[in-house]
Amino acid sequence: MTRPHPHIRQLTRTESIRRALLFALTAIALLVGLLRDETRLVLQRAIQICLGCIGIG
Amino acid sequence: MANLKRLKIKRNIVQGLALLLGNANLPGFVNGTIYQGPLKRVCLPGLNCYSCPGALGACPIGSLQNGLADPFWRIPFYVLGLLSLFGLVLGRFICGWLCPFGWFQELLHKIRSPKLNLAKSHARLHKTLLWGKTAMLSGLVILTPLLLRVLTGYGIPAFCTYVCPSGTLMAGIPLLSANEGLRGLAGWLFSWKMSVLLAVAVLSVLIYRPFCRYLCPLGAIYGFFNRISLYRISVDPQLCTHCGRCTRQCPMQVPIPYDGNGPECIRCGECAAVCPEGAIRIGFGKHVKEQDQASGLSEKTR
Repeated sequence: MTRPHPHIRQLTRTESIRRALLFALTAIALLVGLLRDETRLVLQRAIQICLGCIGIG
Repeated sequence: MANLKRLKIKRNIVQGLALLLGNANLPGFVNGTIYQGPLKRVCLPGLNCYSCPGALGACPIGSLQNGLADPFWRIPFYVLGLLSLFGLVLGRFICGWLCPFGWFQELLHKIRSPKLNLAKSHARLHKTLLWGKTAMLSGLVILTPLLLRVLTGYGIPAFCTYVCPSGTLMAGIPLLSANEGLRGLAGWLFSWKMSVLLAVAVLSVLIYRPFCRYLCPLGAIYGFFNRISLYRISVDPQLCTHCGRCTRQCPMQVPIPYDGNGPECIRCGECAAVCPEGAIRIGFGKHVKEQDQASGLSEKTR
């Protein structure tokens, strides 16, 4: 019986390019976020008890 | 079988350690308060509520929603970058090995009871339900905070507020148990969220990881990266005999030799553990490439 080729390929060229682009975008996003001190915004929100999360609207 | 048993023990240990490391502020559980130190600038990779008394980091989905709900229209680059980084490096390995709520569902599934396998018994329904994750992500995590912001000036984190059962389990129950002041404020919303948690818990006994499969927005994000993540599955065609054991063993019902790097694979590793030929490898790209070279596969044959 003929079966489809079962080997899970390494990334195709398109997938490799997509991965490289996404890595580049990720690096840019992190850099911009850090330069804009967004970690402070995350911290500000995360150190307050999220009333919605615990079911007190 | 010994391989599989060892793997399951190893995975349980890693999941337990991830829970402990991410929620090491143990006094918070007694005092009914949350950790407020600088570590909370960083998001944890799994669905780990930042209002959990023990949480040392922030929840990525909560942070994303709050970023999108920001009244000053600032794009949350930092959170998006972190989510993308986690996805590109590990993909849904995070779901399988690091997420505390995924582990909670797995433990419940160990309870002896009749089990439901929707992928086999109701394949069409299963395929439709798989879109629930994307619907949850686009509807409640992204659109609702954005649209409400347009209407009211500040959006609400709708997924956290109305759905997230991880928040109820890890934050709601411990905080309300230990903090009398908060207990007095609990109303209909808490009852609703407890109902959601109970429903997920009951379903978890019957179905393997129902929330991860059908509802988790974080699973949808990491699933998007699964095909290109550095941590991935490889099957050697020269060793594979098509016996089908891997696919039968897969708790997420992924057809491993054909779509092992698809969005549903949580990299639990059970397929590799049961493969009698050792044809399946899971890991970072380099060793997979080396293995391919060893088996004589060129770029052209792929």
